[in-house]
Amino acid sequence: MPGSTVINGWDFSGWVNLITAMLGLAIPVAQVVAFIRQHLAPEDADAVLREALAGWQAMRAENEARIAELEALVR
Amino acid sequence: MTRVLVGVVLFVMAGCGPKTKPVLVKFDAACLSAVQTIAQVELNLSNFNKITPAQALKIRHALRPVIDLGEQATEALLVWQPGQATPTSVIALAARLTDLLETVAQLLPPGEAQAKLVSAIAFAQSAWAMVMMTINAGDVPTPEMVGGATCQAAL
Repeated sequence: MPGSTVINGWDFSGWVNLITAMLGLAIPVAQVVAFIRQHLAPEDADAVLREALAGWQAMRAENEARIAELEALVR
Repeated sequence: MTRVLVGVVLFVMAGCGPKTKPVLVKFDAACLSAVQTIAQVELNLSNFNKITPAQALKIRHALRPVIDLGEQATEALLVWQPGQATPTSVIALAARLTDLLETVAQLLPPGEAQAKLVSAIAFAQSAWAMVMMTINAGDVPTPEMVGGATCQAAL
């Protein structure tokens, strides 16, 4: 990436820009740090994905039910 | 602000390195969280008659393609292995998230609810920014790199 500083595989300037943007959105510092460290910490990605898939499927069911409810109101 | 920024960067850099699947997974989770937040805010606004049923329906219709892609992206990531091309559904999800932001910003009046929804989506977009940084560092190939070739991470 032009103009970026890469140290040991890290796009350092990219990280700085991202953190700056998140702080600019008034996201609390503790949340920014926790969020970024979570991305870099080892974890069972597949377990998280299985949980996320269940979440998406539940969200689909809820959204479709809500759409049906609202369409009845709007008619 | 500068001192805070430096502090955050130093704290995060300690003992860390770029990861591949975790950043994609976290992006997926952040998108789901954004969608859940939007759905809950819609319900709250509707219950207090802050938005009309027609406005609520527009929001819910806008969520539909994001949910479809979220499910597809998650299924793709479950079988994804480092070195493979980034699933196109993941990239499409990032694009849809931007569309969702525009829709929500237009539908809701300025205020706490709009700010909450915009923040939730912005958070997910930040997670996508991290995915792009990981791609740029050479860990995750873009669909254009399909063919098995992956970039070597800069040393």
